[in-house]
Amino acid sequence: MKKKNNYRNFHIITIIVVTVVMLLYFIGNIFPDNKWLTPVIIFVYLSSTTKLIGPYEKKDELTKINLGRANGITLITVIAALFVISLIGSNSDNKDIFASEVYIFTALAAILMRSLLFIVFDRTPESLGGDE
Amino acid sequence: MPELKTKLKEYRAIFDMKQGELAELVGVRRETIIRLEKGQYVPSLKLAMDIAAVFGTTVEELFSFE
Repeated sequence: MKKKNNYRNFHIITIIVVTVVMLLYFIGNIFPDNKWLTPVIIFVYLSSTTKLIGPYEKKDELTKINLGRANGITLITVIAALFVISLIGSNSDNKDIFASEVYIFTALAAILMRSLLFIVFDRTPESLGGDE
Repeated sequence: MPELKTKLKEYRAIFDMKQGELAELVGVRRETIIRLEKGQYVPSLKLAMDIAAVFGTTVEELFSFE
């Protein structure tokens, strides 16, 4: 039977891909015509987290608890971030803050934060006593 | 707050069972078993009963709060 991948790997891949996407947006000038870049990266991401890497182990109760904690903190942070963005935007003449890129970055940052938090909550250092 | 104490490690030693093997038998990840053994995670009643069933003992024998 093929050994299933650790669920942490899914989040590690997510962190890498989202970081790359954010960096590519930041250095967007290097790729003037990058409108296909994001869909390609999303396709590569979906492929790598499903078919290529193989099946992941089932989420157990500790995974679900850690995911829930990560989701909760991320949700509060996103709400706070959007609140601050709207406050700044409504008190500023510069309405660029409402550009769609701000929301894309917020969404990407939320995905990144969720995976990072999960990795932090789910870490199991060897000092905890693994026997294999 | 009461601390979870467990005899999981002792029972595993008696049954000569690795963390990964126990994890597979009860349908959780090895990381969950590691945390359980260290008392860093309080299992659900179902998981506690499943583990107790693997070792043929009771939940009270395996887990306690001090």
